[in-house]
Amino acid sequence: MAIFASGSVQTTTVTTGATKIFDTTSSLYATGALLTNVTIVNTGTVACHVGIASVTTTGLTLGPGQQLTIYGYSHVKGDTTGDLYAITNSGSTTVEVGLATVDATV
Amino acid sequence: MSTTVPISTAPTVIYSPQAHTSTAIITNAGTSTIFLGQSGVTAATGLPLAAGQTIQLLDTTVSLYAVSGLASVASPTDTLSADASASDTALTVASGGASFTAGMIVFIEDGNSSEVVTVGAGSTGTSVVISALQFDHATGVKFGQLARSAGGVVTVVSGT
Repeated sequence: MAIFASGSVQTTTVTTGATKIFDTTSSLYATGALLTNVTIVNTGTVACHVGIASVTTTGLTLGPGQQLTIYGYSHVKGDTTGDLYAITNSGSTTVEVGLATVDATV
Repeated sequence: MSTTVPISTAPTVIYSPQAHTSTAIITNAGTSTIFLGQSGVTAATGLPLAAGQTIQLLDTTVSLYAVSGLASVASPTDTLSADASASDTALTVASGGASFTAGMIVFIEDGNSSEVVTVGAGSTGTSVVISALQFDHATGVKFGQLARSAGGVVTVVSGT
């Protein structure tokens, strides 16, 4: 299981509107940094759905307490095509997203 | 258990949690991006998984679907003839709007504000009905239908 790399975590409250949960322009990262292997954890109490800016509730479901890691994700800081979004069916939840440490195997 | 699943332009179930499995490791073994989500997932609404990328889901309790990605902008294409604002549900064009039919996936090419929308019913020659915009777009911005790729394939490993 991947865990967050130190100092890379973005914490966001996700609502019923598409909410950016991973911002490649974040000041957490140095100019020119290569952002690789992203982990997303739903630390809130309702499910959310993960995707791109036009995400809807048909996006990838991440229930409360659930986690996913995208291995091979690779975008340079500021490449907004790497931004990730989430949305809830109703209510709000908290999502933590950050660069992941990588297991020896997946 | 490892399985290989072909991915097409229609959402395909690639993983169903069982009583004894709760972890899915999915690798895009094809050559183009696919999109992951629920049964109604589209390239506009799913989570992209580029060729060669792997996603690991822990403690997942719902079935997972995938749909093939989008290869390129194709006909029809058009250009905004009036500014559009975030949350708008129509694009104003000088002509050709009726060529955009319900269900088409459209890419709006606008730098860092580029986005993908889905065409709704009721477009006219000068107005393209779309799902709500996330960003503002100025007059002159170009947009066009995204052509789907031929498909792809994923390998799925499920476990505890």
